[in-house]
Amino acid sequence: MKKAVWSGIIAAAGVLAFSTSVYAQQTANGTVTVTANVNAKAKLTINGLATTSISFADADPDASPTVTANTALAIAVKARTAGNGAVTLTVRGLNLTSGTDTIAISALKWTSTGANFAGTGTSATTEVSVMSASGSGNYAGSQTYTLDNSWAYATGTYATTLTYTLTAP
Amino acid sequence: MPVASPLSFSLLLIASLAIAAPAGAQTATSTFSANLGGIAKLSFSSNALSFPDADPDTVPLIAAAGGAITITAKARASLAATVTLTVLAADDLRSGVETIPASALTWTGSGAGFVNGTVSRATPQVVASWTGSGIRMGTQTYRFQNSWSYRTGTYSVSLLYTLVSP
Repeated sequence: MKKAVWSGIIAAAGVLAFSTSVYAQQTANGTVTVTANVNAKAKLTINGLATTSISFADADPDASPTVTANTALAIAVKARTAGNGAVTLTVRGLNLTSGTDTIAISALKWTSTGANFAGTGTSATTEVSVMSASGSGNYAGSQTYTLDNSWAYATGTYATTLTYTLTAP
Repeated sequence: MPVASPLSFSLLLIASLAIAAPAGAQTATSTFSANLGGIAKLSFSSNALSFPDADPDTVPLIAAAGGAITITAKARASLAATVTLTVLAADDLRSGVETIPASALTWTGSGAGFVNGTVSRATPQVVASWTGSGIRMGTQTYRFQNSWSYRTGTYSVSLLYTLVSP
């Protein structure tokens, strides 16, 4: 019987001896791969809209050789391009017309503020640069139109449409 | 790591009782112990996250296409030990030479011990922490900060998770 008891004690001692305590810090690792797609985009708003209008009041050509539009245009260009892709904003328009009477579109001129915006410009029936930049980003500027006034104009309410084109590769 | 398994522990106990039972007048005490060392396991419902393209004006924060990631962390630790799960970006998001800061990735955590955070490529960020042993589950819902300033491309980065059980 003593042998049996001693066998039990020896077995217990054996368990204790071979069950070495391990308190080393344990770590487990994992990896998650993230993919994000960024595609080309371009967005243009003028005064926060896709379409807006400006007007010029009648004035004495002697007192006001140029007439300033009723409001400046707040232009917001947003573009995402590859690398340093060219972002360009141009404008073109037809001559102002009132029935059969016309005023040359070149009578519409502008001044601009804002980085990357051309400081001044003269409207034309072909594309005229308003802004140019390189690479993605937000580009904001203000454009204020003036109309050359003249005694030569026939009376009337003249109108035209200016078309802005934003290009981003 | 020589740790006595529950099975071997039970067998030894039965053997000891079988020997000691007929003793009658004699008693002896044997103390058995099983040393359970620290151990940690980590698994994810998905090992890939994908963010679709979106208009930065309408979707300033893009949700991952696959939804939340469910994380299961198993750890054995001492009673008061803090078990911590962290995440570290291996790099910024890259598409060729173009980069987007890893900090454009943010997450909200749900589940006991899980916290919200922003990914960093410099310092491991705590995803969750607990006290003591157990199996813990929670989710991480990632979002990608959208911007007009990003250059086009397919950006990717690896997020390295580390579960530490002291």
